[in-house]
Amino acid sequence: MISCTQFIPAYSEGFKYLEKRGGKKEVYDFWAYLSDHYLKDSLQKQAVEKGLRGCFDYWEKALNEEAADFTMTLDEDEGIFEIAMHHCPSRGMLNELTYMETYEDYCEHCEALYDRVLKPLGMRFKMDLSEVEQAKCVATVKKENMRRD
Amino acid sequence: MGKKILDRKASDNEYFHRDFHLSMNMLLDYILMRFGLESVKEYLTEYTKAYHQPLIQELKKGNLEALKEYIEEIYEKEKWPVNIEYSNDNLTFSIEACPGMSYIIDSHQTPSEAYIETYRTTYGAMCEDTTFHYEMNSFDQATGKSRHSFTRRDKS
Repeated sequence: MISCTQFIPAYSEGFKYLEKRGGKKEVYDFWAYLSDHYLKDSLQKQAVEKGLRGCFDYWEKALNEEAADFTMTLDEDEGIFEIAMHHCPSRGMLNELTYMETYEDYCEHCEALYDRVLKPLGMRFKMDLSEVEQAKCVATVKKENMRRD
Repeated sequence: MGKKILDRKASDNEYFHRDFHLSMNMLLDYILMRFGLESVKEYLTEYTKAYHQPLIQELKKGNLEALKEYIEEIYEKEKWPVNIEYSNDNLTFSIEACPGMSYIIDSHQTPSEAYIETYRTTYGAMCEDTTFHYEMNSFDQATGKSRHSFTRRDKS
């Protein structure tokens, strides 16, 4: 059994395996498959029902269960939802696994998964991964075509 | 509508995100669909040999207790009952259902046909080139109810 607490290294090895078999395209094809299947009943459903507030609700549950260190800010007037990740448990775990070679582009899966779900709903998910070596990142969900009166 | 802010420290919560079982199941299904069962086994072997290096080193030294501690720890983290029989030369553990498969089923999804390999291939790869032999004694594909044995090779 692969415990849910061992999932991160298992996924990292999975991405490496897919890239070995079919290049980066294979990894992106899997992320698209995962986005379509995994997020359909969770993030997609909540974002359809409640927009940015649905995004807030989705990540509140997920990041609490992942014991992340973060600040989430929802500004519905400005049409922006931001997650400032002070310490990502997934990236943090990979950074600590110094005895194994982890998948270099692991964190790219977030933007690939979430933007694919939110874009058709008029929202864009973008990530700043410039501090990923410190297990920090900033994710922003921005509502498109916000009216500015 | 104003602003809504939520601040959390890692220490505020326990690390226990069971939805990861769903994502893992989808990775198994994807590799199975795209490349076949042998590729699922190849992936799980690579994962085991990379991630479980420290445990494999202990098994190479003949330290079966390290495996016992490992089994105890993962089922404790899963909050799942496990029955372990342990002696110097043999470790057998059994579960009434698999925690991962149970969560997948409870989430109205179907465990991958290849799910069994997260036990069979993973434990087999763990024991390869060590002094221990792994055997899957039983496995129910519907629930993951199963029994697994690890025996010192010169005692099997």
